[in-house]
Amino acid sequence: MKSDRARRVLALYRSAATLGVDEKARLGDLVLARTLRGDFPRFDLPAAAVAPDSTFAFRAWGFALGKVGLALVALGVSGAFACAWQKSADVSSNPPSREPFRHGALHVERLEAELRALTQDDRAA
Amino acid sequence: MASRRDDSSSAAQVTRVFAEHADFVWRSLRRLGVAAADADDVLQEVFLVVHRRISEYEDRGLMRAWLFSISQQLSKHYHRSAKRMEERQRGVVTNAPGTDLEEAVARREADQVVNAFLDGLDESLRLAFYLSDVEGLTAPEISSALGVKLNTVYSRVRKARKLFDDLLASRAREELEAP
Repeated sequence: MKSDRARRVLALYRSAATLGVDEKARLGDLVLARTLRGDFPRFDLPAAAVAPDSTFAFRAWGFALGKVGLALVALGVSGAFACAWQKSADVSSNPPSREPFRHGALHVERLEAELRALTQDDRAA
Repeated sequence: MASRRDDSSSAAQVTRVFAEHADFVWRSLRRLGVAAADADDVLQEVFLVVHRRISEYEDRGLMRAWLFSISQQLSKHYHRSAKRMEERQRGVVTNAPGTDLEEAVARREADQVVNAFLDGLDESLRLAFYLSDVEGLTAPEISSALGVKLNTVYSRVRKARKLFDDLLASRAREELEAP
């Protein structure tokens, strides 16, 4: 962030270095007259040298809403990553275990066996 | 017939771009070392290149980056062809009409401070700081104009701002200490 003092000095500098209304109008007329006459300088630039690089992100960044959109996308992506990471961490720290089920099953089997034994004893008696 | 229509629509576009950005181009040329006496001519050439190339330009919100890129190329050509180096990196001439004496003095002082600061900076920092804090270009625009990565732009601007703040702070201290 610029400090207030820096902002003030730079604003003064910028206001000091302007073309001036009359000069700007004169130069504008000259440029227009030359373009209409086809009076171009011999020096030209290859198209590639003057075509600015641009991507969707570059274009979007040029606008306030675009900045907000890109920030939301970045937040969404990082949130999705965080969720996925947390899920995988949960799964690895608590692997699904069959132990309780096995213990439960054994317990039921044992009870059934005891019950059978008791009923047999009763019959025998 | 169609070509004449294209030409006039292109001329109208150039007129619009000129009205919006002529000051920016002029300041940039001066900052790139084009002498005051030649800046008007080079400025015209920048807009003639714009006229010639505007059909290839897609409006991507990077107009100032494009104009700076053209200005940079033309100023290099200017330095190469004419070897007019004596005024290189000198201060920008004040063209703005002064409102009152106090403001004129403040402007002159700001002009001297900023020019001295920019002249003393390493070129990579200078252009990043100039485009960001003087001209108000966004980081992606600067990245496009200078052909450097976005992170590089941020770090250069941050570094230059720190130096500029240090300079202003030391000037303020000197003023306080002066009898």
